[in-house]
Amino acid sequence: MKITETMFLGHKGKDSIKEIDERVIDLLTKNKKLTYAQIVNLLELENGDRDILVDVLSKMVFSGRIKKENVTTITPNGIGMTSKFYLD
Amino acid sequence: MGGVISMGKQIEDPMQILIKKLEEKRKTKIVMLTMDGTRSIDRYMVSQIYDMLIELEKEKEIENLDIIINSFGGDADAAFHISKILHNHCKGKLTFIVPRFAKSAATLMCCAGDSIIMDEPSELGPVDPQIIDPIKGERYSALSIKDTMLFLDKIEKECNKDNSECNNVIREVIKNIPLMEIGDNLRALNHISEYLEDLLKMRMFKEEIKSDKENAENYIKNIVLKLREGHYSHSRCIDFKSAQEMGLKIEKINKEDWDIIWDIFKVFEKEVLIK
Repeated sequence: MKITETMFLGHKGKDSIKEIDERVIDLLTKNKKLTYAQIVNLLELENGDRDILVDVLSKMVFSGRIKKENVTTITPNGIGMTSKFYLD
Repeated sequence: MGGVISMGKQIEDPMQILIKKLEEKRKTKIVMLTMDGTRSIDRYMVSQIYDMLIELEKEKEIENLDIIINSFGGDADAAFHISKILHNHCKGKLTFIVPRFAKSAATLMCCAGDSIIMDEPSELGPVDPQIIDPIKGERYSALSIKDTMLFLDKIEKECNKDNSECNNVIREVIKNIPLMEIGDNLRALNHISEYLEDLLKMRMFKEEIKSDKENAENYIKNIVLKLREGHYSHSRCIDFKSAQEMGLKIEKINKEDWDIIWDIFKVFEKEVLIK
């Protein structure tokens, strides 16, 4: 992840990690619970930034600033797993 | 632990059509184990997969089983356990299909198959255990401890060239090394090797074990060593060719079938990853 972060920070015209963090908080203030895909969509993140978002969300959950809920979808065709994020 | 929900209509239709088509062509039962970057293989998955297989067997005994996997890894104990359950319930050929990612513990899981289907975009990854720092939440490889010991050894040799000040520094450093953690990390590395060896003997190299046990065991140990500590980074991409060169049984299937697998992945990507 460190390599990606370096690439990301060196990328002109992109949001910084701090800005993504702030935008996630802003988004979750307006919405009750959002999945990872919904956050990507609403923040209109591009490819490199989507990888950063996983790391940013993980750190925000670890520090207790946001909460995470596991969402598992089970069908006869298999198991799909994602997460929902929300403010306490 | 969060909610378990049934699949919505939006993802069910295109995905099911493609899966059915592939099942008919390959004469297999296809099961998808897909997770985005926010989720990892965990202990809860063991009972979920067990329940799913029991349900499937109510209809029909599972002959050949294809697992389409997309995962960045997770709990190695759970991955090992899931692999054993899949093995027990599959009477015929067990194949892992990797359209894009099966990293870390998911790579370990793939080693339980008779073979692994990969193509150009597919990647496996090293299986060195990742230790989480409980304070910072940062991950580091259990392998790092080996590198640290080599580094200290090198410094100590330099210090032995009659440099007492340097020796004092070394003694101070060694005093602060948590010995129990070193032991734990080394045990974690052996723990992973044990799992990998068990899984590779189960199906992929079963025949080789029967015909020439000693050679086959050495061959497996060599693969395990490469997967465990053959790379400098846990995120290293092990593509189709590297996986084959490593000695794993990697299958490249006909273009028509691969195109269906890739379409399945694209639906997953569109609906789950970048909705």
